[in-house]
Amino acid sequence: MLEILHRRAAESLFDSVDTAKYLIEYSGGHPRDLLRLLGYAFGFAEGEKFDRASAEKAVKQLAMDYRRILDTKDYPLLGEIDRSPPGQVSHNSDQAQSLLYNLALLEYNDYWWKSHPVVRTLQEYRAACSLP
Amino acid sequence: MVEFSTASPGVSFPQSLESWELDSRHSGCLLRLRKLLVTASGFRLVLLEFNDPRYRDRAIRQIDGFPVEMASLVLGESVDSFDEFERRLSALAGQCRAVHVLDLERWLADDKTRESRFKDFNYHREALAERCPFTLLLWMIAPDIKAFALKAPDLWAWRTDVFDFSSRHAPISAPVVERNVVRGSASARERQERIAEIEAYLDRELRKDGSGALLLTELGQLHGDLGHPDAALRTLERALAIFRETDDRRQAAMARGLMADIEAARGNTDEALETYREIMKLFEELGDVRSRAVTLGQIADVLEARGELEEALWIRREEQLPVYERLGDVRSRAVTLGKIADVLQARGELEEALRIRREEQLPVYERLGDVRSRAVTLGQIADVLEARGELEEALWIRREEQLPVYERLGDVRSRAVTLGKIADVLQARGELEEALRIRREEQLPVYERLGDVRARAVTLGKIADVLQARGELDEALRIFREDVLPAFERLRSARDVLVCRAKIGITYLARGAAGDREKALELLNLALQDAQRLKLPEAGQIAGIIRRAENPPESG
Repeated sequence: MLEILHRRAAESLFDSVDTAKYLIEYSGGHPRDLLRLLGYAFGFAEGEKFDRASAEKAVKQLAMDYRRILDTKDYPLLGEIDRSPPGQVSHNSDQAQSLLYNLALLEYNDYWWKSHPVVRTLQEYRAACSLP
Repeated sequence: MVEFSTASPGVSFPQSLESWELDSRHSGCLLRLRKLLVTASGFRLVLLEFNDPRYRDRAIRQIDGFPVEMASLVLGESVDSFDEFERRLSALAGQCRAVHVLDLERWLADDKTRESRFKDFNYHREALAERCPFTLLLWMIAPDIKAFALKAPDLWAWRTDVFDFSSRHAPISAPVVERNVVRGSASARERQERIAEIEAYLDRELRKDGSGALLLTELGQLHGDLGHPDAALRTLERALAIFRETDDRRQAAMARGLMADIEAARGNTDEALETYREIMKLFEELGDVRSRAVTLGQIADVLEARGELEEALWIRREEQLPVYERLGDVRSRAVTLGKIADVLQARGELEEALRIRREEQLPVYERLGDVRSRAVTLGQIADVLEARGELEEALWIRREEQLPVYERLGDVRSRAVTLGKIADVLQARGELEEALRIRREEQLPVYERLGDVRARAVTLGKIADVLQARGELDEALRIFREDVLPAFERLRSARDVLVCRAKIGITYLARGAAGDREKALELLNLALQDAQRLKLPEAGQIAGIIRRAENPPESG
């Protein structure tokens, strides 16, 4: 993922490797979202480099994109899936399939499902999961 | 209705871009969009959320001020199919770099065609990208954006960005937010009460949104008013952090401007100028020509204080005035002309300064019914008359024209300032007793009540000047050293500190007791270094005093 990122934006354009890693972490391993986060961070960057502040705002912006397409009832389901043991698919409903389709829910190796990391930053998700 | 139009920047709507007219919370959005449009090439898909067509149109006016060729496609009844939509877009290829697509909410409203049009968006993704070598700006309402993301997911996946230009109500409408103190004339107690009120509110519910930060900005200004620049800076930093977090870059620039004002007052003029220039560039990118002109005025103020009069004059004449003239802002034009007159006055061009005050400023304020500005301008006319030695006429204006106005307005600060000017004239005429009475009984109590630390220190300095003139050198020295200098040091007002040090030095020289000359030279040299560092015109005068002290003329 770091290589993908640096092919689009040279290492020297990041204030630190942590900023690049932060974007990768919040892409959920999804290359298109990684490049989208990079594009968003470019819009937010006020200086010559991608810094932590621009990366954080990019994450917030991508989270808002997902918030646009999620319904209130989606958040408890995402929380429930996230709490399920890794590799164990506990839901095969239309709702879960729809979440997979719109990428709010990501599927990793061996049918391990996990909500998109930016979705987990949303207040609605945190409230549904009783997180602070 | 014109359904289809191409336009060069700024002429696609009846009114040309004049000034910032959006919610400041959208400034970050606008700057991001500007960056995107300026750097984009080829097809880009951008969705823009709105909920008020009038506000959307204002945003479009602002966007059309960007240095990018724009066009608009309004989806009226004649665009009756997706093919026609594509054909109209294709016709714009090569003519512009971005196209606003408007009235999508109506175009997508019909249940009979809604589903198929979303499907068409999805299936025609490649065709759209091929036929539209420009940025496609789809103005949509929130439910349509959601439907677009879900029903045209492949095209949604190609979006470059989504911008939210929905107009929002102020997030907080608590009484504490609505209330305000009139900072020009509020008493120190009123300011302190307001500070306590804001702090209690923010402690209870600091909201990381624009309103919380706006309250912090007000708090910072109040701390500054009360002579606590460090507290002011700390508070403004907090406001700035919130504005940055919410990407409200316009308010962030405003907060930075207030911080630069404090830095400029402390003598950190290079830093302040750098900040003002950065802010100015941001206003320029936002198309906020008025705020840009105001910031230019702040730059000119600093340059003027540093004695760089020509540069200040050039900015006021060539950069500020034309903007206010274009905006038809007669008041700001008059104020700027007044600042030009200030410079002319400082250069000794009294006749032209007087002409500007009488012929350009006064008639405007009279026409606007602005009695306060009229009184202030009359005071400046009195300043010129005073400089020409016409003391009686100056006194008459202050007593008969200015004072009654301020008394009627209940403007205790301006009244005290005017009384101070009257005392200046009396002092110049040798009426030291009355000058001293005014300073002690009329001015000082007012500034103490207002909590205006700077004005109090300035007045005490003038009292010390009178005492020095009367030969009461010990008391003058005591006031300078114990009251005036510490106040200016606390305010970190570099210019005032160095002037005060120079005055103490001069008083030591006048007293001439054992060791006084050494103390005087030490203080004068310190003042000279600071004046040179800050590039102040006082440096020349101080150097002259030092020369005379070091090489006194031989007596008899």
